[in-house]
Amino acid sequence: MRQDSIRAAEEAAARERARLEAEAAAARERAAAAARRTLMEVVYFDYDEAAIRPDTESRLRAKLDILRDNPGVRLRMEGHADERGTSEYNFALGNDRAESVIRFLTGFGLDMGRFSSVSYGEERPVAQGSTEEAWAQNRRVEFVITAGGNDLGR
Amino acid sequence: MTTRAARWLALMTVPAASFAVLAAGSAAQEEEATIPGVSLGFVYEGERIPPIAIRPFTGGGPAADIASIIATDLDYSDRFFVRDSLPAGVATDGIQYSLWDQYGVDWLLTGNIDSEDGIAFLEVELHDIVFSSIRSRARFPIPPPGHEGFRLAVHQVSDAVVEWVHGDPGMAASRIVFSMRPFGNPASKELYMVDSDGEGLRRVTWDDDLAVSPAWSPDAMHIAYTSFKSGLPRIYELNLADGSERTVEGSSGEQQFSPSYHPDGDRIAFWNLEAGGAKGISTYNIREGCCLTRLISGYHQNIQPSYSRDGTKLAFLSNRLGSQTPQIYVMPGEGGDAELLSPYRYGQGGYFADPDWSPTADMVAFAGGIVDQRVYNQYDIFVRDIEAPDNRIVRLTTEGNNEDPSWAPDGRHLVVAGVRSYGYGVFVVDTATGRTRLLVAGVRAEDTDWSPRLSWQGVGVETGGAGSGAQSGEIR
Repeated sequence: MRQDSIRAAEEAAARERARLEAEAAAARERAAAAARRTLMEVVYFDYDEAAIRPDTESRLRAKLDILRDNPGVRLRMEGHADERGTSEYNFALGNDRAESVIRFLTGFGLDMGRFSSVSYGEERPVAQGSTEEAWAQNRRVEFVITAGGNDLGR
Repeated sequence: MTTRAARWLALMTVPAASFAVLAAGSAAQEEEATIPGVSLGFVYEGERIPPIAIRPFTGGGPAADIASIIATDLDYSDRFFVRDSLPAGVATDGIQYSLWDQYGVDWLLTGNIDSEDGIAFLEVELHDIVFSSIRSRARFPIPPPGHEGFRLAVHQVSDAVVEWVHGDPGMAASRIVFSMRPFGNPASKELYMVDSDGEGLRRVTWDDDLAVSPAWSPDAMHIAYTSFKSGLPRIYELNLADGSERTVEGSSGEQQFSPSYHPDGDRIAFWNLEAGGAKGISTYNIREGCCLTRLISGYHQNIQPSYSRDGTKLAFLSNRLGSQTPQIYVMPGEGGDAELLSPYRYGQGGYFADPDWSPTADMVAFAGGIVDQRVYNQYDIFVRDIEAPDNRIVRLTTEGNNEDPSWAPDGRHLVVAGVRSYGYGVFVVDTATGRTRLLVAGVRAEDTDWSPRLSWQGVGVETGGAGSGAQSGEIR
C-alpha cells in the first residue's frame, strides 16, 4: 500500500513536471512566433523616398531588440516600389529602401554580415490598382529570416 | 491578336491626334511653357515623301507574298508613299514609263522569281519614273516560304530598295526584344522577340522568374539581360545560336542590372549593388571573362548605362540632384566628369529615364516629363541632339505613356513601350515625321530594345550595306 501511494505521488509529480514543461514550451513557442512576426513586419516608405519614417523607425527598433537577443538570426531585406516611375529606376529605389533599413540596423552596432538584400522594384506589388492606398502598401521592405529562425525564444 | 488584320484594326481606332500634324500646334505652346528649351516633335521640315508603285511580281510561287511584304516594309520605312491600287492595263512585260508618270509615282519596283540549281532568286528593278530609267537592279537568293529565314531575306530586299533611293538602308531586316509577363504567370517576366513589321512574335526565355532589360550585342548573335532566376538579379548573355549562357563575374550577394554593349561587342556596361553597399556603373569584358572595372560609384544611384555609337561616351541615369528628379547624364566611356543632358530646371522637378544612344548619330532618346505624382506614369519620349548648337530637345509623343525608347538600326525610328487610351502596346515612332504605328497590340511590354540589321544567312549583323546579299551589281 505504501509502495503504491509513493508510486502514485511520483507519477503525479511527473505529470505536473510534464505539464509545466509543456506550458513553458508553449510559452517559448508563442514568444518565438511573436518574435518572428515582429521580425517579418513590413515597413513602408513615402513616394520615391528611402528615408526611414517615424512609424518605420518604431518597427525597426522592435526588430533591433530581437536581433540583439538572437545573434544567430539573419535577415534578407526585400525592397519594393510602387508602379509610378520607370521599372529600372524602381529597381534602384527598392535597393535604396533595403539599404536604408540595413544602415539603420547596423547603425546600432549589428553586424552587416547578418543582412542581405534584393530589390524587386515595382514587379511584386501586394496591392493592385493605381490608387494612393495601393501605392502606399507597395512602397515597402519585406523581411525574410534566412538563418536562426528555429532558435528564436530559446 | 498579332495578325496584320488585327493590327490595322487597332490602328484605325487610334485617336486622330496621334497622326495629325495640325493638332500639334496648341500642344507645342503648352509644352514650351512647361519645359523651356524643349520643342515639340511633329514640327517637321517639309520633307516630301516620294510615291512608289510596286508592280505585281512575276514568276509565280511566293511572288505575291514577297511583293506584299516589301510593300509593307516600304510603307513602314516612312521613306516612301506606297500606292496600293494600280492603274488599269498594267502590263508585266516592259515598262510603260509614261503610264507610271501619269499615275503620279516617282518610283516603280518590279520583281521576278526564278530558280537556279534549286535555289530561288528574286530579281528586282527599281525604275526612276521621273528620268525614265532603271535606277538599280539586283538579284537576291530567297529561301522557300517555310524557311525560318524567308521573311528576313525579303526584308533585306526592302532595306536595299531604301538604300538605292536614300543612300542609307532601311530597318526592315531587324527585330525587337522586350520583356513582359507570360500568360498565366503574373509573378514572372520573360523576354519576347518580334520582327520589325510586327510578325513572328515569339518567346525567348523560360527563366520562370523576372527576366528584364535585354540588350542586343552589336553582332546580333547575343542578347544580354538581367534575370532573377538564381534568386538575385544577375546579368546573363544568351547565345542565340546555341542557347548557351555567359555570366558576369560578381561577388556573393551582388545584384547586377541593365547591360549595354560597347560597340566592340566584347565589353558591357551595367550597374550593380554589392552586398557591402558599394554600387554604381561598371564594365566587364564578357568575351574574355575579365577586366571588371568600376566607372562610377557613390551614394546616389547611377544606373541604366547606354554606350554611344563609338563607345567614347556613356549616357546614364542618376538621382544625384535628389530623389523624385532622376536625370540623364553623359560621361566619357572610360568614366570621368558627367554632364547633364536632360532638361532639368531648378525648382521645376522633372523625371527623366531610359536613355538610349542612336547607332548612327550623337543623339540620345529618353523618356520622362514633369511628373504629377498623383497619377500613374504619363511620360513622353524626347530626343537630344548632342551636336546641335542650340541644345534643342525634341519631344516626339503627346499622349498616353511612353517608356523604354530604343533606336532602330536606321537611326531614324524608335521603338517605345506605351499606353494609349485603348490599351497597352509596343509602338514605332518615326522621329522624322512623327508618324506612329502599333507594332504589337495589347501587350504590356517593357525594356524594348531594337536589334542591329540582321541577315537571314545566319542571324548576324549585315556588313557592307543591306544590298550585300545581292548577286549582281547595281546600276547607279
